[in-house]
Formats: sequence, structure tokens, C-alpha cells
Amino acid sequence: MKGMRVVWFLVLAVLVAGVGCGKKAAPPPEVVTPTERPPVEEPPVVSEPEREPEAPPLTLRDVYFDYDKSDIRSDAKPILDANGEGLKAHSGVRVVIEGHCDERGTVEYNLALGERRASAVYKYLTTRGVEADRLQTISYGEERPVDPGHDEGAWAKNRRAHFVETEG
Amino acid sequence: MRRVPRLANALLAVVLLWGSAGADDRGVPEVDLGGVVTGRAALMRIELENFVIPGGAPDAPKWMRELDDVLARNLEYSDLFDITRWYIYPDQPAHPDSRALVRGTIEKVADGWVLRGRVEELPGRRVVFEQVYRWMSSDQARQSALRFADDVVHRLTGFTGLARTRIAYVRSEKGAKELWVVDFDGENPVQLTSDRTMHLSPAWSPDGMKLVHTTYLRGRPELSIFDLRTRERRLVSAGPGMHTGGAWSPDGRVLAFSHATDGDSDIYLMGPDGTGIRRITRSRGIEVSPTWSRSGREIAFVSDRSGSPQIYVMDVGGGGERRITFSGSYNAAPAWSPTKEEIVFVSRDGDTLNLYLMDASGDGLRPLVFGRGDCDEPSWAPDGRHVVFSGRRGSDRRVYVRDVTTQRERALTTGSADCYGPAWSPVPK
Repeated sequence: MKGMRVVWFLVLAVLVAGVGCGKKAAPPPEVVTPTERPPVEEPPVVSEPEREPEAPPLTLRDVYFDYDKSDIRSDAKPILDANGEGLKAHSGVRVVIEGHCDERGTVEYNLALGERRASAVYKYLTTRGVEADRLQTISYGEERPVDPGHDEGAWAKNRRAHFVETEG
Repeated sequence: MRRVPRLANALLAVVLLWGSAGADDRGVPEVDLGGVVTGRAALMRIELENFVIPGGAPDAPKWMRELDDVLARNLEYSDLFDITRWYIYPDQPAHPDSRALVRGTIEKVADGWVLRGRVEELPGRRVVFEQVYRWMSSDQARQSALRFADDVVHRLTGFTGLARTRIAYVRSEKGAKELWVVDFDGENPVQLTSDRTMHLSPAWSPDGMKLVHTTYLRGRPELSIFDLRTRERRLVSAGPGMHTGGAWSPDGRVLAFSHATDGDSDIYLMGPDGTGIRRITRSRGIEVSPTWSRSGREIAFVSDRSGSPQIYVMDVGGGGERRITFSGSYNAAPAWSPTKEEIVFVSRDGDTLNLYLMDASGDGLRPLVFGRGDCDEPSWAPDGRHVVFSGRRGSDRRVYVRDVTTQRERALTTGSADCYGPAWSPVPK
């Protein structure tokens, strides 16, 4: 099997090289990705696997906080509930909960405040049945604003918990 | 103290300072601290003759011609002198109240150069200080001029010279936040890290050889020590949660820092090698920004246990916790003076974070930087007279140096990249 793959690679390499220095008229080849499959001389019987009814793609929305607060706001609860349901439906997904702050505070205090915000979201999700070992928290304090502005509109957007999917 | 009088004091101070800036044509600003006029911060008048150069200035290399500029700039930034410069000193001083003449001669010697520095008393020109500074290659000449500047400051005023100190800070560009260090006079900015990640909150070891700082090298805030000689890094407090705000004890044996688990941060102590970790605060909520008293027996820190960030002091051994800020709803980032029982800190008025000074008891509250945009992360110079801090002014975020006595201020960093998180080095041995 391994020998076959090497041969297949060589064939491909020759083909690609040939095209590379061939006539201008030759259209670019389709990108061919070598796979575990043997070459075409023994065509397998391809049968589409039965498709399971797929869960909708996972979208995890940000939630926002009041100034110098880490309480989960009432408008954040339905969002976190939906995020939690999504996570339960995609059991292979792990996420980092990022805690962020606006710029109105000291760097150090905001680092701790961001950690507390991320932790509040973590607690909310785990008490609603999301497995704790799929979640981790990281505070970015005020270092990663989504809106670089210096007004309440920007600050309100920056005081947030953001979800980042990591490898399952 | 109630809020209204404090604000009134601050405004009064600003008005007085503003008024004095233009009114005094002798360049001696009137100093007001918290509504009580403490008198003039007298600058000593001195005169400085350009260095004598072998073969004359026109043919001399650039570094040699500019060596007296290095001296003049560093004396100026001490905020202790009013300086008159001469190409060749005449027989009479420019001002009858000039106290000293500073001179120097550069000479080529077998294995390099020397600067013969000299301070003469005025009037009379009696030599009160003389020192020979020696160097081998031209890139070491600057160090000699800086040493001379520090010697002049100490000889004439008794204060610690800062010319050889440096300031570490964070420079932000394209989302990366790297550690940099710059000389006291703003020359020689040097990039220490190039990791394309975030480093925050550097703090110097008392021997000036290492920086403890917060690093996202592994994707989360952890504490690392950067060795300035070897450029090696070592994680000293790492793992889940938050590790930040490292602060060295005055004897260099203990690091205080802030660590959070489950969102609840507390102040911890450990050895600089990361061993012997113990927690010294117990309250729920946020505890950050530890700073050591100069005796090393107490730590000031920030806690939100009262419902808003306020500054507390506690014994390092545990216990004796007491709140020292009661005015305003946001007091943070304390830094304990290395020379007296005084704390500089950040306090919010309205939407602005200002800098204030207070005694370590919490008394004697007075504004230091007021109404100049958000200030953060003040750090004392070893002379206990200067404070370096980050300031957000317009769209720029830069590092500024302010003299507490004269209220003179200068920007230490320039350019469009955000610079913040400054930490003032000790005086090198």
C-alpha cells in the first residue's frame, strides 16, 4: 500500500511537472489530492453514506457586560442559552471563552475583570449542562477591542465575552 | 475627604499651574500640590561649556561633537537645573546667580579616549568635582557622558542621578505587544521580544538584571522572567487562570503577583524561581496590582471587595489589611515611592483616569496629572521625584515622564505605535 502511494506521488509529480513546462494552451489541471485510495485501475464501488440529519452549523454569539460588571445581563441569557444548546448539539467542539473589557480602566484591573467575565459565562454554561472540560477561559483585559473607538458605542461592544472554537 | 473638595483642589492646582507657566519668565515654575502652595521648586542655575575636543570641533566625528549635548540633555531632564550653554565660557557667568560651571575635555589616549569632567563653583571657579571617564570604543562614549551627568547631579544637589536608568515598556503594533526598553533621555529604544504575541506589565528586579512580565506566549496570561543579559525567558507562574502584575520585593527575594482561579483573583507571593507559592489575600472578587513598601514589610494592592476598585495596604506576613482610598469610585494601579511613604495611583474623575499622590496612610491626597486624558500604570524613578506613566491623549497612547516637584513633563516615546506599561529601572551599579 505504501509503495503504491509513493508510485502515485511520482506519477502525479511527473504529470504536474509536465504541465508546468508544457504548452501554454494546456489548461491548469484540477487540483488532485492524493488519498489513501489506490489508483484508478481498481475502481471501488462508491456508495454515498447515509446522511444523518445534520445539526445546524454552530454559531456562538458574543454577550455583553455593563461597565465594571461581570454579571450575566438579562439580554445575554437567551444568547448564552442558545450557545449552550449549540454546544450540546456539537459534542465534539471545545471552546475558549475570551473575557474582554473596554479601555476605561487600568490594564491590570481589566485583566482580572476580563477573567471574571469569562468565568461568569463558564459558570452559566456549565450549570446548564455543557461539560466543563470542553470550556476554558482566557482574559484579554482591554488589549483586544473589537471597536477601536473611544466612545460609549465602542466601549459597549468591547465589554464582551467572545467564543473561539478549538480543535475537538 | 469628600469628592467635591478633591475635585476643587485638582482644578485649583491646574489653574495655578497654568497661571504660573506664562507668568514666570525666569523658568522657575510655581508648584502647587493639592491646593497648598508649597513654594517655588527652585532650579539651580548652572552654565555648561562645550567639551574641548582634540583637533577642534569641525573635524571631530559626530559622536564626539555630540557628547556635550548628551550631558546637557540629561542634566536638563533631571528637572533640577536651569542651564546656560556656552561654546567657550566667557570670564563672567551669564547670570549673577549661577552656581556652577560644568566643563569637560575629551582626549585620545593609547587604548581609547578619556573625558576629563569638571565642576567649578561660581563665582570664583573653585574646582569642586573632577573625574576622568575612560572608554575603549566610540559606542561607549555615551555611557561616560551619562556617568558624568549623574555625578554632576549628585555633587551639586545630593539627588540620585537618573541618566543611566532605563524604562521598560510595551509597544503595540499590528496587534502584537512586545517588550521594549529605552534610555532615560528617550535615546536607544531597544526591542527585547519579537514573539508576535502579547507581553504586558514589565517590572524590574532590584539588581536591574531581569524583568518579570505577563506573557501570552502560550496563549493565556502567565508570568515570565526575562533575563536582560542572556535574553532567556522562564515561566515562573503558569497554567489555567490569570497570572499577572509581578512585583519584586525591595530585597529581590520575593515576587508578589495576582493570580485568578474561577474568576476570583488574589495576591500571591513566591520566590523568583517560582517556588514557595502562597496566597496572602482571601476575599472574593478582584485583587490585583501589588506594590511593595520600601521596607518590604507591607504591600499595597487593589481590591473591589467594597463594590468598586479601591486601594488597600496589608502586612506581607498576612493581616493588618486596611483600606486607604475613600474618595472616588475607581482607585487603582498604586506604586509605592522608593524614597518615602508616598503612593502614586490612578483615580477616575468623571470619564477620565487621572494620577494622584497620597501618603501611604491615605492622607494628603493631591493631583499629579489631571485632565490630560486617561493615565495608567505609574512607576517611580529611583529618585522618588519622577514618575513615568502611560497617557492616552487623542488617538495617541504614549509613555510620559513627569517631575513631581516642578510638574515638568515630557513624552518618552514618539511615533504612532501605542506605548504603555512603563517600568523605571533601578540605578545601575
